[in-house]
Amino acid sequence: MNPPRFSRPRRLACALAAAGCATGAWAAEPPAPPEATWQLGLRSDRHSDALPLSALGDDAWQRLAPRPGRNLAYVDDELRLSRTQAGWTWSVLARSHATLVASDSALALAALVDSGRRPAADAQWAVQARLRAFAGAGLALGHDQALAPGWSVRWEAQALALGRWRERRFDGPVQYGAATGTYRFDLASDELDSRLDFPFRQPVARRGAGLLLAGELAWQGDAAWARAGLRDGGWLRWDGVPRQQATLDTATQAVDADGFLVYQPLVQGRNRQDGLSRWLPWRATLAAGARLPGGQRLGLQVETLPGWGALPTLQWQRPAATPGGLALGADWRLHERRLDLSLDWAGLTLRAGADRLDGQARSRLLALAYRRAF
Amino acid sequence: MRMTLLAAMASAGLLVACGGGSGGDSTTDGGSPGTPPVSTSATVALSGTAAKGLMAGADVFVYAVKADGTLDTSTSLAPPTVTGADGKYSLSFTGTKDQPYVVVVKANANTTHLDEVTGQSQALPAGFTMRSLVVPSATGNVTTTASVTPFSEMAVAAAAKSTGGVTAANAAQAISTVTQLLGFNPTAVAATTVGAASGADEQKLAVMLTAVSQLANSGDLGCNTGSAGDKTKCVVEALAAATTKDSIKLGDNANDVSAKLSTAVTTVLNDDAVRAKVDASVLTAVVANLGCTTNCTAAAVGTNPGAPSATATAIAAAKLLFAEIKSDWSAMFSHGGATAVAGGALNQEAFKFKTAVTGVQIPAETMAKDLGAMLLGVDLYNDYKAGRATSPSRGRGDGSLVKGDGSVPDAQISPAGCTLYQDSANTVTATSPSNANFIGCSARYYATRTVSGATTNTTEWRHGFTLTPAADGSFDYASRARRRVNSCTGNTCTFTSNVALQVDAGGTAIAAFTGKLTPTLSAANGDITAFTLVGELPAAFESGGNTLVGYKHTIDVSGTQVVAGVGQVTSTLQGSLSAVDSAGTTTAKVTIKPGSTLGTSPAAFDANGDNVAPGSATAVSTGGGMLTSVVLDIVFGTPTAEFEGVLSLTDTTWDKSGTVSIPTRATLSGALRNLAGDVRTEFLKGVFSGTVTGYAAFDATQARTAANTFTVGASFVGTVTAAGRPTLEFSLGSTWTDADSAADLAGAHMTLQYRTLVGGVPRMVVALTADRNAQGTYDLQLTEAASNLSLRWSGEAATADLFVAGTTKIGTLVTGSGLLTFSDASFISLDVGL
Repeated sequence: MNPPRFSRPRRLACALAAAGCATGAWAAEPPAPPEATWQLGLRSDRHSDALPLSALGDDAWQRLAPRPGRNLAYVDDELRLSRTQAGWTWSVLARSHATLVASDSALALAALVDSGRRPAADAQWAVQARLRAFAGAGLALGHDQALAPGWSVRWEAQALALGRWRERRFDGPVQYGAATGTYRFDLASDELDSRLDFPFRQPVARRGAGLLLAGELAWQGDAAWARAGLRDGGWLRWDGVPRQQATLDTATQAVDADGFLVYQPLVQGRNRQDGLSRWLPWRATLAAGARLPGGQRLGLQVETLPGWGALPTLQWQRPAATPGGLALGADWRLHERRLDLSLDWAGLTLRAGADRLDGQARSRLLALAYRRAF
Repeated sequence: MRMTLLAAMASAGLLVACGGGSGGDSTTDGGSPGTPPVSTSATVALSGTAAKGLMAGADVFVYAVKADGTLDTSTSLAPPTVTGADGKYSLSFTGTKDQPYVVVVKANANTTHLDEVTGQSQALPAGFTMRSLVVPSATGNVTTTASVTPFSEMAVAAAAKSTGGVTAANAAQAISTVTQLLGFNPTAVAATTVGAASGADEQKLAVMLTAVSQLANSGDLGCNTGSAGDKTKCVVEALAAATTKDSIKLGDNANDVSAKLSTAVTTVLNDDAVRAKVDASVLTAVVANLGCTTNCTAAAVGTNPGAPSATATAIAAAKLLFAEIKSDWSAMFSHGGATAVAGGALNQEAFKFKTAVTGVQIPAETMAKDLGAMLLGVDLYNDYKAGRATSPSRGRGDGSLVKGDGSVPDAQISPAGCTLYQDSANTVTATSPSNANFIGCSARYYATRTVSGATTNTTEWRHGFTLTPAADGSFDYASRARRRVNSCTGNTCTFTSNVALQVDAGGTAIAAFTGKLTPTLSAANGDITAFTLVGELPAAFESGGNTLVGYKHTIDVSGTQVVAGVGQVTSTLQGSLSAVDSAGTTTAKVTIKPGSTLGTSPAAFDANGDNVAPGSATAVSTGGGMLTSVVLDIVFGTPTAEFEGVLSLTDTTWDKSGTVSIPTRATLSGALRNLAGDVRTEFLKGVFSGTVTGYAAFDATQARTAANTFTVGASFVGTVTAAGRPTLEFSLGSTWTDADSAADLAGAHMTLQYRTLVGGVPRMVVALTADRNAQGTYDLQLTEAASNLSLRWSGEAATADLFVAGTTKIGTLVTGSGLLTFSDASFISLDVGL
């Protein structure tokens, strides 16, 4: 059996920082180093099924090229400074997370409407879109603990001051009648946004708060390994956060008491600011693999994303031959169609990946970390 | 739809979700719906202007209303004050929210007013009083205004004479009723002079105040005794006495004060000094309302201003208002205009009408040209025979009326031309009165010209006539549609072709269409003073083209003609002309009703053969007369559609250069109907009017500038009816300066008032005004009199606030999204579903 190559704090940080450090998650249980270790890490993991990353943030509706079915876009950016000693890790971190799941119909319709063109024939779309996003900064406390030979458990709690919180759900049918040249729709929209402004808005708290939890159980055998974890579950709260609920319905025709046709507004709704707390659902990870001769490891990881489902990853790693030596790794993220490469040498970790190398990339990872013992 | 979806999708963050957000810090304070008042006390800071005209030195009081609805005049709630030289006053008093108070302005021995008609300051007699209603809309400190005019007095008088007197409800209804009549709230609009008025509402009030002065100066409404001030007092009291809170009609049919006031308004608007400042179209709605003879009941106010939930009630009323507005427009109109799939009822009817008349040749051109040609020929014949004319040929009319490919100069062709012939075949031109036996005439519709070497070939598509004098003084005619080629080499011209265009299956020309023209001649010089024409005419050429449409026309018309001088001819015309297809079916018919007239005025020709003003520097010859006035009372119909109405084009005026003339007054009144068997669906009825002012000072040969321009006013008053919706009564007025640049359009104005009528009772009275500002955008105001709601926005402003009673804000419209958010946090989109 090859000796362990990574320290426990390193593994914990990687595990809790999502995909950015997936290779480190395979490390066997090491003895806790007596000295304190500092680590500074920066990671940006972005993906969009329907649009090149370079177009994110623009009104680039015409560049939309949705995949059949549901389309996923996410952002996981994090800057973290950690200090680990005796199994305990304190971190100062800033992070931004967003996930958008939208039906291809919704995206195709958006592009069509933006183009000003009208379909040549009758058409219908099932519009579904769900956005979750938050950004904040705060502290995290984590702990690694060995349960039994080969078994370990770790957890982390993040307390964040939120600078932005945004959620949006948008769904319903849309039809287009070529004969009349008109759209018909029945859409429901529910938007929560800490920066949402509307007339008669009441005062809004400057910051929100978030408590996010993570935990992982890992097993390390001679020929195999496995782990299961949960992360980013917890509570978000923002006093007075603006929320707007609306219906967009073209079926506005009715008959009034006098027997006359009456047309209600296309959009009706209500603004709310009732101090919302909301549970953020877990992201689950299940990974397992084999240990090969020469220290190499092969594995399969499946991560579930709330509102989306599974995101599988094939993983390979060649650990360093000596402490501080060069370790290499590679991940193939199936949905993202992205290859991530990693190296770890003398406390410096670099990970990078993309689905393609030109400006049309739709998935990209860049992570850089440096750790040093004091 | 597109914008709504886009806005929704964009706000869903479909694209920008991962790109971060924008916007400032999140601790922006919003407005507050407010908390329930703990006190109903209001400290009111009130200011305004007293005007009939501007009243100087008048005493101003504020009185509460007693429980019986009468004024408590024992004590003024504010220390009495006196109006300034400009009529302005200001005072403060303590009152109660939502309760009516009355500002009273009384003349004293030193009080004068600026009489608008005379322009002089006049003393007002003791006892002259005008009032205005003030209703504090909030507790605490309230700053508000109230103009005191004869029209605010009408509202107070209407409330006072109602059951219960000046209650909050009666006051609200009375103000609403006067607002429905005038199109603006006379209490809220600043009173000033016509010259100083800024904005449409101030202009309207200034003109109305001048109209009151006009009534006094003309001794109308029975106010014809005493001093000028006495007459003014009498008129103000008469107007107040004629007003009720339940009707926009002033007086009744026996004492039609509305009509008198309307006449006074018209008189004022015809004054050059006033017209220079205010176009008549600005007062379209007022004049239309004063002309109300049916459905004059005022729309009832739908809210109780004194109710504890006044804001909630107002919000509900606002939602209802905008739903009704959307319903009115959605039901009437629809996306894409008048098409086969139009959803809007009016567009559906319009499509039926369009379909019914598409491809139908309106026979008016045929009637005008054929009749004109024959009358020209008879005139020529009589003049030649009597020795008053020496040439056996004559042409008449504007060459531009002959359509073509542009190859024939207008000056070288006329729509009507005749020659006298010796023979019935029209081949030998008469050389003397004794051998002038037949008349050959052409009514020309289309012409082209080609040049081949030294030869010029002119091809004419025409109705050719041969008129044969009868012993009784009448003329029998035969006519065919022909294509004639006139080849000219040098001064020698020859008709090389003259083909009959209507042939039978064998290619043989069908028989000529015949009839009889019977003129009545003046004894003095043989002018035609009357005529009748009965018979048939050939098929028409399509409008603007040379293809024949239909088979023939049947005509039965008569007319008169009075020649007052050279070029000064007044004609009357009546009768009918029907277009008939080859199956014998009437495809279109024009009926000209009695009362239709045509008038010409003297004109000259310039070197290009164009009409110019007589005496113009460019005139080279007298041109006889040119058509300068038209009044046609007509019915045009097809088997499934019909227009009936009166077209009037009058007051033709030459521009400063004398080269261009236009009618400066135009009116088209009538109705459009679709016919299906015995069912007649009249979907549009009204009067469109247009006026042009300042045209005589405009030089058409120079570029349009702010200094070289004229003003155009247009108005439409009418009704639109669609199945499933209440009838809409429209009063639309618009005025603008004819200019080449957008900047010169500053001051353009549009006002629209419409009422929805359910069983003859108004449900809503919506007014919309738009004034083009110096920035090139429009300041808009939407008001609804029954609910007392108003929405104002200016130019490119991002938001517009919705008020009830003019002061209490209950909503805000974000113009970018089109969402109207109310103070209770609910919102709706302001879309019209098009």
